[in-house]
Amino acid sequence: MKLFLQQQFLILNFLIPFLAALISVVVSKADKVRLIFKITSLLSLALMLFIPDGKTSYYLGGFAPPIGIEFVLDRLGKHVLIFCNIILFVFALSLTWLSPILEKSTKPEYKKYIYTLILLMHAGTLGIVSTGDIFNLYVFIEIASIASYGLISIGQSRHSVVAALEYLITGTISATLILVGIGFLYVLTGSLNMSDISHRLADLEYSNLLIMACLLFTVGCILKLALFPMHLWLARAYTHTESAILTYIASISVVSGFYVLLRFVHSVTGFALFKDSGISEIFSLLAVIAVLCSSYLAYRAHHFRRIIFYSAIIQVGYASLMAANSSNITLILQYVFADGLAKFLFFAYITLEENGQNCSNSVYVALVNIISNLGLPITVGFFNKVNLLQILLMNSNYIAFVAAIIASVVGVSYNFRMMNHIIRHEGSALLKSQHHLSLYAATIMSFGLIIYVKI
Amino acid sequence: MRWNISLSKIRVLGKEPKVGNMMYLVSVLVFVIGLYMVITEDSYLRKVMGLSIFQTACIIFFLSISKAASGVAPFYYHENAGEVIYTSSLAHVLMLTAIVVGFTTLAVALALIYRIKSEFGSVSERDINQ
Repeated sequence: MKLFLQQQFLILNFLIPFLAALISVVVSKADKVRLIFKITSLLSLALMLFIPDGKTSYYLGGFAPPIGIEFVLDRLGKHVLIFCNIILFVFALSLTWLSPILEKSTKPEYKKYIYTLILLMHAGTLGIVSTGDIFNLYVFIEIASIASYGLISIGQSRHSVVAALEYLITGTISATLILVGIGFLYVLTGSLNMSDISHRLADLEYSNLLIMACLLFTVGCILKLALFPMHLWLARAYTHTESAILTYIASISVVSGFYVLLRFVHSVTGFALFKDSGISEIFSLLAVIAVLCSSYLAYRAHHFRRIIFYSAIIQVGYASLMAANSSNITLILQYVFADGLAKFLFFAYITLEENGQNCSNSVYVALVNIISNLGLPITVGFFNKVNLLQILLMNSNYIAFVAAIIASVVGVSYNFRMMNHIIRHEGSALLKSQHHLSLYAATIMSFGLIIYVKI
Repeated sequence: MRWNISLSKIRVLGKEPKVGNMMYLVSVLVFVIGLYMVITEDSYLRKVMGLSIFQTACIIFFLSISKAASGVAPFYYHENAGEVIYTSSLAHVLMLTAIVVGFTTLAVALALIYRIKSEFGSVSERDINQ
């Protein structure tokens, strides 16, 4: 049994949420769909116990890689896979208090489809993480995106639909650019399998076509990540979409976006090309602009959700600076995971605040989260910031270093205002004692990330 | 049933006007037209039309990279199969998937536009952002 699960791990891991999504379309009652959702999240997490050691691959249909499609699990994929499943589980854990809010935001007859869409998005994300075929990657990106367009359109405000359409337009453009990049790689190598492409590229000299492919892929990822010049679609989504849904989407999408970039840079073209062709410098420059501009705008912003939006862009900027300057995947993943968990906690807090259900534990968790966001000691944010500054200094990227320092100093201002907002508005909530298990779980995990690099 | 035609007939089929790199130029042109529409148009419906054109450009690009000079469609069978140049069918298969994806995106976009129209009474970006 254990051997079977280990052998079939890669495909089962994708099929569980996917089949659950298909089944949940047929099931009519929302309660049952919720149960299916919870069972799926539990099963997905339980399957992680059988994660195979070392690098494994699964041939779909028994066709060997250069011809057939291959699912691959290596170090990078393994960590992201576990993280995605944990986020789904924590989300399912929080359904006890989240589900009434979640289901209130849409018409009664459609409320079960929220869970279907989340499961589909999860299946798409797991597909992105586990596939070893570059065209398959594009298809999974679209599957995950199309589900998330549906989710983003759900919200109290009617502007959430516009946000979804804007996200759709941006997302489609980014996916199409990635597709053109894939086309260029196919012209160069005649293969679509990632490891095969990287082997064949090793024999080729750098050409403009290769650099163009790399550039198109990077621009596609920047659009998806909402890095500075392409961040406008995120503004509306973060302001108007139902925050209960954003707890899941915001945390997962940033991780999957960075995963695509890291996968492409590190296992298709190689980090050297990224560095030599100057793309990393452009990327780094955009990140510096993002960090500085968003810091200023966050400093000027007054609305709580607005500050979180700018803070999210700054965090993406920091993580991009890391990705552009370092080839140490673990450090980058630590940053991105911490950011994903922070977003989950922020939006969970906003959900509770908007519905007047805050209690002492959610307020404390939010305060700890803000301290981590600020980068003060003991929290994971501190270690991340130290790593970031260290990487920037080691690469003698002084402009980015100064920008990161300035942004951190400005960060004190807006994080303090966020803290102030929480204490002023939710002071009475401290008297209410109620325990949100999922918030504890997410906080403990974010602290657990501190030791992650050492393992 | 197998398609059993003589080699000469295939050669006639394969004789086409030389296109060279024209197809790439066409695809870039369509690409830019689509992107221009997405950026400049005011109505969301037209933006989505532009998006569709943009995706089509990508399909044209993929179909042109698969075409070999004087290659024939890969479903003809011939005994001297080694002498016949076939075009690559892989890119066509990929584009079949891309067309489905594009169609799905278009469907979702139109559904969202329908909802925007019923909520705001307009699909113009300027009206909505007021």
